[in-house]
Amino acid sequence: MTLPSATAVPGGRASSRRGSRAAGRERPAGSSATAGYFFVALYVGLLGLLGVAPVVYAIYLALSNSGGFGSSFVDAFKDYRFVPAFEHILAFMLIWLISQTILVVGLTLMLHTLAQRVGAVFRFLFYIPGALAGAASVVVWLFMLDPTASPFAFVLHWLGYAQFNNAIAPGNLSTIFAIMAFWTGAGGWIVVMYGALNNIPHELLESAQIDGANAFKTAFFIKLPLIRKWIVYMLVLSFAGGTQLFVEPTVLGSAALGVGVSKYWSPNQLAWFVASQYDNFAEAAALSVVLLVLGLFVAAVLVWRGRLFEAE
Amino acid sequence: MKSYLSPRFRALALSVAVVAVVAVTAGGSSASVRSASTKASSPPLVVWYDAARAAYVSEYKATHPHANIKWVLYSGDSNGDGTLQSKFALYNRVGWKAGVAPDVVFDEENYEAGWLGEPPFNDLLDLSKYIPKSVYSKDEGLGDCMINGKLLCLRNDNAANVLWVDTKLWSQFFPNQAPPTTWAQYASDGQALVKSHPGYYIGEFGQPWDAETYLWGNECPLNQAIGNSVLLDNPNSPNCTTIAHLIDSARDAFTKDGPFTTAWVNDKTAQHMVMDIGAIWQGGAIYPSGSGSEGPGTNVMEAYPPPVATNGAHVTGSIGGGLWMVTSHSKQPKAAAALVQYMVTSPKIQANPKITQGLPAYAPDQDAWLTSLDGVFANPKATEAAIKQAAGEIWTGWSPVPWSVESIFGNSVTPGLVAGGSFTSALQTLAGNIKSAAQSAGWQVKSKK
Repeated sequence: MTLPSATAVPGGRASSRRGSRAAGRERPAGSSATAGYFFVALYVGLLGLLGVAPVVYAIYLALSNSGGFGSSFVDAFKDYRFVPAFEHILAFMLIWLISQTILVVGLTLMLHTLAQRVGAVFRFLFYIPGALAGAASVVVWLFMLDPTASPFAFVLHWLGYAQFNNAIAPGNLSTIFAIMAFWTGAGGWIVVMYGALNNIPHELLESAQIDGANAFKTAFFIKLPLIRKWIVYMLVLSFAGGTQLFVEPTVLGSAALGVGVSKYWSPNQLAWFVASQYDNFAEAAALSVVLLVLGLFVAAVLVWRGRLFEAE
Repeated sequence: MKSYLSPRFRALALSVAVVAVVAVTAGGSSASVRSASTKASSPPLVVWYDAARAAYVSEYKATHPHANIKWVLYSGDSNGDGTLQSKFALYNRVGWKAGVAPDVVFDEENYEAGWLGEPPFNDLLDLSKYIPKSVYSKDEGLGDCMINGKLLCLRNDNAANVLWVDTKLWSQFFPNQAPPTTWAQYASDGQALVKSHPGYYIGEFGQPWDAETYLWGNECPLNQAIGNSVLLDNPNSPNCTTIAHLIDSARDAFTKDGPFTTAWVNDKTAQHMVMDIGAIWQGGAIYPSGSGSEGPGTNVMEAYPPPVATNGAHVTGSIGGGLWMVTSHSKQPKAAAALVQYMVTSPKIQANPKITQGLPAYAPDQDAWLTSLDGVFANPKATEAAIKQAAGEIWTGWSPVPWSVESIFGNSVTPGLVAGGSFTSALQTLAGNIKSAAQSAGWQVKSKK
């Protein structure tokens, strides 16, 4: 899953950022431009090797099936595991993206009204669960969800789950993975959003205050519209990461000793399953291409609707 | 947060971070690359074995000190984790390089020869050309290996199901009565137990291998290959419905916890099992006292013959055990087959219960192994006779196929059963899911012969 920790945090207070920008503009082209090209070339090289080349190979594999042009896509769509896998991921995304967006933005706006030092402590606290990413977070949740071992067993018993198998019943899985993903990612996004809020010029907030806006009005009518692009950015990355859900259901499934979580719960797992268990790399590639198209489409809509690339 | 770094330094730091992230991501996928052995001029024989077979390897090394073999420990494909399928699929793409790709493989899943040896894999060697019939015909349970006329594996141990009875609890709860010999008696004993001693059990129910216990053991034709890629899948057969109905009639007498869960150990469930239908190896694996299993001790456990099927047939199911297979890409098929033959037949390995935990599949080694049970279980002579009887009664109509019934059962049936659904209604769900999996694997599915 894509983690916000790998993304750049919008830096510094407005004044210092503007300062460095100005300094960059003043700098003559020459040597720094060469260094710029060098580093961009490095990135483009790696992007080609590890990003574009696999995509091209996947499209080639998907189209070069022995059954005829495009037959691997027909196989994928007709696969009896295809629709359930996308239903699972759809339910997961709805729960996760909505709760993440509301809670991350809400918490950050609240944190931003606190004193700098208190806010920093909370940001750190929120970030801690994010340190347990991927498989490690699943292992923690295995204990949390087992009524015979969990420190929150009373909650599970109250919900009517006497056994681990009750807790991970198929109807609960989308919610469980959404909760896992939320705790893994939310802390990092709160840090990102907080950085974005710090970019809002002080004068703007001060003038809002002078005009009589209270904390709520400032948050809702001034701050929120100004970090809209960062919210869209979070949605784009989260959507791409979320549709590729793989580690969580795989680890949970093997830890449950084959009960409840199927090996093709998510589309990405299904792609792995048909490739590795039935030697059908063409159908797996077709599924990957479907995921890629879906991710690109949603990203395009979000970028366009959210006006992400428009200059300020 | 004020930045003290120059823009150029920041750009450098950022690129280093990006490269590091990419390197870490890429590194993860190459972790399974192994270094090839280069000491010998000809490539070594590569043998993949599981942890439970480590003692076999030491024994083989002791008796064959000069053998040029690369031993590779792997998961054994336990719980059908699919390791073999995924590795084989990759070798099929990149080529089976001698000395790197496996020649011999030990597999814990007893249906997988029908998966790896058939299309689209076709990766297993027909051993009948390399191992004499006089040898393999004495290997019991070959229904898992003899597929479309090809001998694709040898069975390591016989994992037939028997009726394990806790003699102490039995004589306490059912004085003056013998343990059940039919499924009907088994169910009625369960009903009686629920009334008189709630909290004690006659078996486990809701585990992925339930189909292999109750359906396989009653000749239920849900997973029966009746031709090349033709499956008989009939949940309406009386052989299926009668057993499901009997199990449902005594459901409260079954624990929902499997023997490999934390709940099983925490609740000392093994000490509450009055009886249990389970594989031969379960006697020594689940019931020992102390240690992690918290059982009553093997000395109170006695094996009885499995219940007679509701149609009167003397049959039983089989859970686990293991297979030795040779890959069809091996450059040294003779040496590989000889190693497999040694592992399966050598009395040094198979007749020694410290090395082989289940009943040897190879009949000539069975008596010596059984004698070694003296002093382990209650009434050793009766236990040894029951085990030997069950070993010869495995029904051959539950076929090795390219899908995992355990996996289907665990994912599609167990959740409903755990939530209180009936086995009778679950039969249709199970049959429907087996049908989908079979059709998706290119099989034709019939509901009548």
